[in-house]
Amino acid sequence: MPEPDFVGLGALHCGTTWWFNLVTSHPRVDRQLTPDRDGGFFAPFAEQPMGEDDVAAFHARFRRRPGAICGEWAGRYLSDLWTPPLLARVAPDARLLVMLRDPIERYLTVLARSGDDPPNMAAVAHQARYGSQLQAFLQVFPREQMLIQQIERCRADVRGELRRTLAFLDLDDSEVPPDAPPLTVPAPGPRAEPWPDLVDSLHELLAPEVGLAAELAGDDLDLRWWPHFRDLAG
Amino acid sequence: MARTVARAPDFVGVGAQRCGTTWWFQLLLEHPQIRSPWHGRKELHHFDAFGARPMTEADIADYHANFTAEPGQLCGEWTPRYMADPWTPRLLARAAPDARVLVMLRDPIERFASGLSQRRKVDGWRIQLAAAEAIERGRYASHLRMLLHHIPAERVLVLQYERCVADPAGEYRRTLRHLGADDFTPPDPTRLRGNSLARHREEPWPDLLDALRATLVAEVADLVDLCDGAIDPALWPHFRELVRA
Repeated sequence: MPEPDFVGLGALHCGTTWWFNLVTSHPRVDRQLTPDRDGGFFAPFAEQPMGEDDVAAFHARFRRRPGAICGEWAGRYLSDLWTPPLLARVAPDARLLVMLRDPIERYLTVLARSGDDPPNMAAVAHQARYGSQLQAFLQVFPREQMLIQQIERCRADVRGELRRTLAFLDLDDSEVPPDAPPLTVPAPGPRAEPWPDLVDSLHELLAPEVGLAAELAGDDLDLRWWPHFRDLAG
Repeated sequence: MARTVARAPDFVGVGAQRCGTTWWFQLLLEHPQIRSPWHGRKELHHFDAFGARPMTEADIADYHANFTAEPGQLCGEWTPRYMADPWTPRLLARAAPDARVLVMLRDPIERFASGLSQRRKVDGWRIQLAAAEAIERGRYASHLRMLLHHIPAERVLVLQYERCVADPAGEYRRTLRHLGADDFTPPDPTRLRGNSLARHREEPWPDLLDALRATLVAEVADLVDLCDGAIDPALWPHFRELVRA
């Protein structure tokens, strides 16, 4: 059974659906057959081992036309820390795509969308431990197998950043139809108004993580694009 | 007997979930000087909401309304998630500026297995959320650093669950000294240790165990340094290799 050619790891609430739609608008990219509506393929393996049948089931999802490539993008893979060794076992050669966003802006978006019934907001904050998460994947995958992008840059330069993604997948962006609907930048979603205690707390929690992520990502991550972490930009 | 006016708590336990905090809080309540919040709850979860809205002066007054005790008595609560909620340490420092703070910690992989048993749901999506949260709550050093950034170290007592099990009387006396309570020996310190989910506990499977260790070993090493002797890795079966030669 074929392995996926690429796997998007996350992060949640970072514009990955839009970007996945863009990538799969390329005529030589096929989506996996059974898109996950839940937490992704590896969710059950938080409490049970992954067996050979599971591996076969994973591979069976990635059927592609001759000459096409196939992959998936699950927002939670990045933050579920049991996933890296499992993904390395089932897809050791897959290209890994990561889309990140200013973690505090991300938090404010989730909060605004939650209305009067906010979810466990501590969990939302902790999902942005980007540095630890990238490190866990880079312990089992070589760095050159991972592309890290920022949704802020993608929104500012859709074509340029798409070219980077497609080149990483050995594809030519000239094949993307110029009128592909996903090329339109989505309107920004609602955003909660931040208050000082929240911003300071989240910065305190996440600055070490953002710093580590920047160290691991190198040129892929430019902190000048993240308004709450510009103080960490070199 | 009449209680006095509301005030800031004398002590607040801030962590961690599934680390024996209910046992220890119940033991503290056996002390004649120590009182629970007025309605007897151990966990007030007062600060949980402030990840979604600012804390106001009225919220602080509401918090203080939970703590009424006579002169010479000590009143406090213990909410295990406080330490893991990033906004709580700074708000706690404001709402309870003089409170003594208690933290009880346990081998984080044992804690993970116990926490997961508690949160276990039937479908994979929920178990995934529960597992991610159970891992996060074992990042003791990260959480403790944030706590110590807002609360002076001399007001924070870190207890190790395994030490409390091995020497409950000795660790109880340490706790009382930290709280400024008179010396006291509870009749049977082990009596209230319960609510165990040990019968439901399953050892994490090997890949998960490796991932947990890879994630948490640096946290434990950092914690050992941060606590300066209060945490002995020799008592944590999954991290014994961190014992200094």
